Amino acid sequence: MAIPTKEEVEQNEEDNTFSRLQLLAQQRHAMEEFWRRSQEQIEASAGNHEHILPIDCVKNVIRPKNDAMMLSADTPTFVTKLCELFVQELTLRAWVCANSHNRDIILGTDIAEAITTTESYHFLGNVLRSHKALGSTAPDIDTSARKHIKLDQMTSLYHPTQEMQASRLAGYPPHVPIYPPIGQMGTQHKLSPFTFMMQGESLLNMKREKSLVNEVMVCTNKMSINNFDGATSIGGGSSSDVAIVVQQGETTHPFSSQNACPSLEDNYVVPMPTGHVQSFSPPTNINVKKLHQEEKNIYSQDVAEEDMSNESLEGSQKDEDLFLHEK
Amino acid sequence: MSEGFDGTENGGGGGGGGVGKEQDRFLPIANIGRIMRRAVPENGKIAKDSKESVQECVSEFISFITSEASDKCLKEKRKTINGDDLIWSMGTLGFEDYVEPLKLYLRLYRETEGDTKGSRASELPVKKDVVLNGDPGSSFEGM
Repeated sequence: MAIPTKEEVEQNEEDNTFSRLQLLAQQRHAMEEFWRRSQEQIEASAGNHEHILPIDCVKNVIRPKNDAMMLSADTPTFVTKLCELFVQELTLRAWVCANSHNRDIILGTDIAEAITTTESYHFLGNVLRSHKALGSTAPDIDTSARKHIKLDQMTSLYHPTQEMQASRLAGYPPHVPIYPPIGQMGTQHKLSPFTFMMQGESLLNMKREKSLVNEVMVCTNKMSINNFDGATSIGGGSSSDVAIVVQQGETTHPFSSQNACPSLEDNYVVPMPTGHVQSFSPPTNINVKKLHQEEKNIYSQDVAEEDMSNESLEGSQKDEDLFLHEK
Repeated sequence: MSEGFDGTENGGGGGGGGVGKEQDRFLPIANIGRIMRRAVPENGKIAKDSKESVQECVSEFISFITSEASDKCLKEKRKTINGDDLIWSMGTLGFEDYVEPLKLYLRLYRETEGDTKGSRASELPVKKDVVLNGDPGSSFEGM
């Protein structure tokens, strides 16, 4: 933290004195207006002696200090009026202080500032000291400005709707392939069956597009993916549990993948990224042949489906022509 | 059973009295807040801690003014503090701005109070002895 120079200190002092003088000028102007107005009010309410402060309370405040002395009949009423004027004056001075700080709320600090800037209020120094000791001059927190969460937002947080549940399910299972750390390249890792299925599909798609296969998947046991034909049924209403109904009829939790796919085996090797092929043994001819065979089967299925669709389209066109001719 | 009830009741009363004595030192904060609101524009707000500060300041102010007036009365060998003593003490203690408005207030207050007292006095029936033939002791005896 840089030490301020002498010039900067003097500049700050000048600014402080200027602001203080400005505050005093504002206070003086406000007080002149206040006393003129209070004089007019007293003249206007000549026979009216309604007081906001209770006179009995004022008597109780006066009495302890002056046990020896008696009070005349007009003294309590006079002191009541005196207190009203004092409170208004002090409040007005504090209001000027609050305005100088660009605030529209009078805090305890403003009262303290009004006391320190007014010479006749120096007798209130012990009140200031007691307040500082208690630490009550700190500004209060404005509770009315706090923003509360609406009730419908709260209910939607704790009771998710069906759309929200469906969106959560859409993100499950994870489609991103998981790779092991670089130091553990040859080791086997257990992935969820869903992840494995998705990786297999992505590999086949890559082969179909005749791109170079950099990731090799070796399956030790034969898997039957067709067994899993589950449909997700989302619970209606406010229930937050989502169930997956398996073909066998058993209802399982969405995140227990072992129950969902009992036929899938856990023994498989994680596919590797392109940069780490050297650490792997080269793929055997048998595996490559298997992949080629699967690829051919898929192509033949696609061709057969296309032929069928073309035939059906042609047949429907012929029927339409006949119908038009008859008309 | 009844003894225990009486004991608790008495204890409660004693506690209430203690609180009352503590509260006697200050004027009610609600009333002070109402007076403060008069001095502030409509858009202005008043924090609770500022009301409490003013509440203490008012009690201190009353003590400050009345003790000075009391000293004056003791010097003059009087036993009653009146409004004029308070006005004098305010002028002495640096509250000159208060003097003129409060002199006016005190004068108007005394006039109105004097009028009400005078009207009450005039309403009371006054008994007067009827003097006949210059002899106060004699009474009029009719036929």
